[in-house]
Amino acid sequence: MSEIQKKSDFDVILVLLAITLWTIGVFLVFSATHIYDSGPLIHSTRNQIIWISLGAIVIMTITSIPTRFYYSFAYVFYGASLMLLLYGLFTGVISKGAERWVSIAGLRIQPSEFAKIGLLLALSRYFSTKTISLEKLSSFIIPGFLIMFPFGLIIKQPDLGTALILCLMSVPMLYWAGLSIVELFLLLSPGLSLALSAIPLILTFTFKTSSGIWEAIPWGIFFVILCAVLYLSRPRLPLLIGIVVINLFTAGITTFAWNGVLQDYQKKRILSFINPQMDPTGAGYQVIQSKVAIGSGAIMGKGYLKGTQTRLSFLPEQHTDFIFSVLGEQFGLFGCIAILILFLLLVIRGYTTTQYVKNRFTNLVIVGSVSLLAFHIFANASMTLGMMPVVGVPLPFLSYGGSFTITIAILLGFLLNARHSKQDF
Amino acid sequence: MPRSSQFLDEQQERTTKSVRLCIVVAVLFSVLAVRLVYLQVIQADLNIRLSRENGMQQHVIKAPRGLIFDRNGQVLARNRPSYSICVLPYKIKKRLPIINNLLKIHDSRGKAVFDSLELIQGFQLANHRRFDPGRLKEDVSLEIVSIVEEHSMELPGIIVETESRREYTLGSKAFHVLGYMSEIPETQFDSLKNLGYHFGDVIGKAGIERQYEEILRGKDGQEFIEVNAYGKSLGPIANMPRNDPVPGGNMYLTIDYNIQKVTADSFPDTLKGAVVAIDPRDGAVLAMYSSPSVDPNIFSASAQLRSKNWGTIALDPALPLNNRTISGTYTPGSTFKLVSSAAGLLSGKLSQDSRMPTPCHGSYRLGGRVAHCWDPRGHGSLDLIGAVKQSCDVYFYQVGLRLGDDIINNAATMFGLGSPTGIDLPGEKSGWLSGEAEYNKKFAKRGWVWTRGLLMDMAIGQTQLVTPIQLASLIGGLGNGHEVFRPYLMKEVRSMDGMVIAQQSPTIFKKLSLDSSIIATLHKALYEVMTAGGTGGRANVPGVKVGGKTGSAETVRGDRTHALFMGCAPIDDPVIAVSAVLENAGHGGSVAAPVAGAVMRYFFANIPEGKQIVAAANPPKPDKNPKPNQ
Repeated sequence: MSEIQKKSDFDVILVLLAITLWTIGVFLVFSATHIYDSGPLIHSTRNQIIWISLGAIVIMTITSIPTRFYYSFAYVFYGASLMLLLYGLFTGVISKGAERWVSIAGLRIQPSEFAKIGLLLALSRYFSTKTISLEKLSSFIIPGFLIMFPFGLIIKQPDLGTALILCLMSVPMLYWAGLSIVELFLLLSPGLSLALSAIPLILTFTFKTSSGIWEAIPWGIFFVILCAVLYLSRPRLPLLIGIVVINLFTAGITTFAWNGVLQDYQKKRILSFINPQMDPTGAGYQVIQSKVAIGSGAIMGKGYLKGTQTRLSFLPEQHTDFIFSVLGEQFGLFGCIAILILFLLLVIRGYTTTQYVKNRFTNLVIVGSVSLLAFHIFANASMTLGMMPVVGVPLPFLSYGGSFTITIAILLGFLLNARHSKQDF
Repeated sequence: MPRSSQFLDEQQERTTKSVRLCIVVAVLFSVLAVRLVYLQVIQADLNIRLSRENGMQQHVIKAPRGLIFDRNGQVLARNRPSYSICVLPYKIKKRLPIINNLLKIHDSRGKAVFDSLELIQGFQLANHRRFDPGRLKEDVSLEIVSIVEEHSMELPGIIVETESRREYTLGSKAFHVLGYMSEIPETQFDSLKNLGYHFGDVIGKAGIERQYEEILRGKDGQEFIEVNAYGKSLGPIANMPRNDPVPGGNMYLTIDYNIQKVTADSFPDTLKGAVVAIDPRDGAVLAMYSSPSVDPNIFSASAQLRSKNWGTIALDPALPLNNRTISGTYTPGSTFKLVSSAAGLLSGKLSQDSRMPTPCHGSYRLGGRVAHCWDPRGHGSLDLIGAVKQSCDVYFYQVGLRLGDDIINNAATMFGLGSPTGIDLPGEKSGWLSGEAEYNKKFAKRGWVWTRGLLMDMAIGQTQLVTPIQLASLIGGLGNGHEVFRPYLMKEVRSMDGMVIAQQSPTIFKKLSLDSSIIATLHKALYEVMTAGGTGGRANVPGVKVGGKTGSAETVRGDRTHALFMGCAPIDDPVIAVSAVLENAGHGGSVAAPVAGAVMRYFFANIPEGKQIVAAANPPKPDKNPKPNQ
């Protein structure tokens, strides 16, 4: 028995952080919805408290179940979550234009939330006995499929935001499973190449003017870095050629497809899929309002319940996806930074849990859970701050919502469980 | 457990990796922090200004609706500014003081502008959409507007909205051509929202306004404006997305303002029916009038006036909203005898000199049925020209029996009867051609079966149904001789700066396979109708050879006949073709011919093209009537 293991049976700090954030969340949800004296939002605060209480039960349940259970049933969870996604595709209740909800036994749930947990467990289980390396491309086959199934099903909903979060979550897990930073870069390079090569095309299409060769500079820089990395890391020749070819191919196919194959209306559809903000009457208006609300909070904020609620009433999702703008308006820069620090502490606390746990499966679960939280926070905040397209991902702990609150509780449960039952496995 | 080196390595690796992950997240969060500083410190002032209560409003910039002109550029439909007093409900804390202040407003004659019931209803209605202006009083005078604006301090949340309303220069005289505008009903709003319509928008409801709604309406723009605490606009906000409105296209019709006016004026006010004038050389519609008509300007008036008038219009049994020129289906009566004649000539079973075996003694017997001629005195033995001229029924009974239904219908179809002409107006009917198969199908439920005797009715046009526009196309085709053009109304669309952005060129509706001798025979017959002893004399035009045919179609037993006339001039190379139908008005020659005649006489007396033709056909004869001035 080492002494480190002894003193950390139950992570009080993590629990305190979670309680603090959830409490703040309840107050923010109240602030965002209290002006309604009728309609569907009237019970939001009460509901959120109920969800959090349920979350507490979930946390306790998950913590008290031996880790071996999750290990043994990882693929079952994964399979079940895929089934739920498929079920949702066929019977999905249309909600805000996207089929993201399914109704089971009178309960409306979001299958994509459970897909996150399913994938997390499945990847952890797989990598607990396997390692991954670019040198051995076959090691990518099974993880690749594990990610692609839920990714494809969620894209089909269509919920681009959640699908991308799913991919992002997998990246730190791959890192933990054995990929070096260089390998990660090479792995992600085709995606980067695609995105960067699309920039000039999209700019030209959107603004109808072209500033010529300058727009190709980001891709140029990227390609130079790629070559440098390849030169320094000296992978096997077939791999090297493969990576270069794929990168050139993705850059080329974007240009070719954009200029040669796609019609204008298809381009518009793609753009509005990537960035719904393009439509200034719809989602774009929300972002503008959100930016103004956060910015008008200035340094100290306008004070609790003193936000200009009348205008924010235009934001139909202010208590869910846009809760961060409520925070920014009422508590200002101080409030936002404080929340970010709390989040960061939670993330640090989460990642460092790995130091006390030897088991590879448990560690992968920890890394996946914390990364999922971190990317949710980043994606949601950048969306409300107008730095990213509005893709509809909620903010952990603060956003209103049943399925998502339970997801957070499950993730927290995993973290607490890791410490609690580390010897058991 | 011994602290083996492997354990240490693993421990070390986990530490390194978790620290690196923490750093990545910390960097990402720092980006957020920088952005927060930018928005909340550097841009704070701008954002605070915009966030002050309702400091920013999304403002729709209405695109001006395209104007409608006649063929010579005379305006038929234009936009006028209209002011409404509106309330922004979300700004109203206490209703009563504002209502009281509004009640104090009087116009120059000392009459109160609002009444309290109307105001309370207006406020309640507006409350359903708290962030949109709700109308309290629409279409008010400029005087009221200035009073309200002067007292904006005492009337917080009350604003004046300017909008543009449609005005029709010809009023009820061109109602069915142009149509009218109406607010989108709440029930249809959801389906139209995706097309960019806003709540409270008006939409073309009939005629050209509806047919070309897409072209006329343009595209609304939008901007973000800054408003002060009283809701007064302080102008657009910089750096905010703004879409400029695209004005609707200005439309030039084939209609001639003056001919349209004369057409409407010459139609007896008390009667129902329709008149159409087209140019048979290209199908351009010169005038079209349907009676009874409605003044489309009342649809642009205030809601009160509108609903009052709407009640009378909607409940009127004469159905004034129906455009009878294209949707009224009438028995063609004797006008159809020209189709029967053409059918006979085409099939070779009839020639100009053909006489029928049985001369007319006022009636004709087929088996047990005795069919009468309109003139009980009888016409004696006639050739084809004479039979058309005197419209002898007995002659055409025998034509029908000789030709059969297929031959007659082939000719009718060739002239475009029995199918919609495809004119660019909504709601055109196709009419109906009789014949054995069609008849048995139509009346199967009633158990009526086609008999040979019905061929006689068919030849004199007592079983078919045609629309006035088909009738005009028919006479146009008979006069033209070579083709029937598809009637059309929209000539071209021009942008605000006069560029032609769309054009409609004439299209051939039906190609006629008539050789020149048949054309000559038909022209001769049509001309004879207009001469002494014929039935169409009252449509004659001084100095021009007119061709035409009257019709008096039997209706429900006991009612007076529908009066029909179709005519074109000059008969050898017509430039105008007119059809007139007057419901239950009597004989075509005495009632319908004068209406069509008035239109044609106006055309040749006042329209430059018509005057030229008259001048060319009647060169001045200096020897007989020397003009004193020369």
